[in-house]
Amino acid sequence: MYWASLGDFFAMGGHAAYIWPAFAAALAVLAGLALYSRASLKAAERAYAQARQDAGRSGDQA
Amino acid sequence: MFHALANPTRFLRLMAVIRPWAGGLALLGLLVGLGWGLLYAPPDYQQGNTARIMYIHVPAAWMAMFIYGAMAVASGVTLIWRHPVAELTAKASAPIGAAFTLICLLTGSLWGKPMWGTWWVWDARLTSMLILFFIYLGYIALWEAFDDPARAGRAAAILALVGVVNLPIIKFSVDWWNTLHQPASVLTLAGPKIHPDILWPLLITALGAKAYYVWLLSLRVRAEILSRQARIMRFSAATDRRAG
Repeated sequence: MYWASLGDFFAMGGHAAYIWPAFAAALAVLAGLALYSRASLKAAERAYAQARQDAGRSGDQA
Repeated sequence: MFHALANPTRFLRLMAVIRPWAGGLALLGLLVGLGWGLLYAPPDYQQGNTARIMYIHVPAAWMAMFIYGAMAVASGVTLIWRHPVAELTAKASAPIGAAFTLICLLTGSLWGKPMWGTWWVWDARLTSMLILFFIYLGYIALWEAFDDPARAGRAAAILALVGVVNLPIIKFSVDWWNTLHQPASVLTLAGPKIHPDILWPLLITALGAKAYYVWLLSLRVRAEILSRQARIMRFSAATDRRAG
């Protein structure tokens, strides 16, 4: 362990104001895109199931 | 193998097998790599602790370029062989590449302020990276600009191939022009020039980032394939109704 204490770790040698926002921004972008992608996958799965159901119904009529 | 992957159903089945492993590896790699970089790695002798920003900045830059390269290869395959999965792989990759480029730009700015005294300079490395970000955005916008996915896909693939010229410019910008940005220290002909205590967490984070790409790509490609199949089913149902 490089740091002497937890306070030391959070202070990052006086550069906390640059280091923590950099890590937070990276986390926010990666997590945000993952959540957005998962939501669009769910929407695509619903649209696919709906289209399949509709196709089956119109197939019965034919 | 190559032709087998052109079958969307088989591709989806393969992706479903890979996805949990890639997701686990991504989580593990990012946690271990970044934890090591923040907790155990030594500070830089010149830049102190701000050099810890490197553990995100550098893997993000590598991913930004790697994903663009993958997208360009997939676009080439799309244009030459009309490979439907390659086309959707390129399309699904673009937002991930744009996200890593954005992270690279943001973290670089947060590193530049304390070390260079400025958030931004219009020098070759920074500008070519910003151009990469705009090419990603242009590619994404082009897909949305056409109603016909076949035309949109072709236009986007051509843009992706033309944009490849930017990759060597990014890589060699630090050698070709005077810049504030430091030159390469990992991917050099003479091998890495940095100490293993710093190199290891960097490489582990990079591995985690690559696994994140594979995980998210498999998820996004599945969404693209299902959307396209739903669209085709709706379209053929509509033409059936008109014919009947």
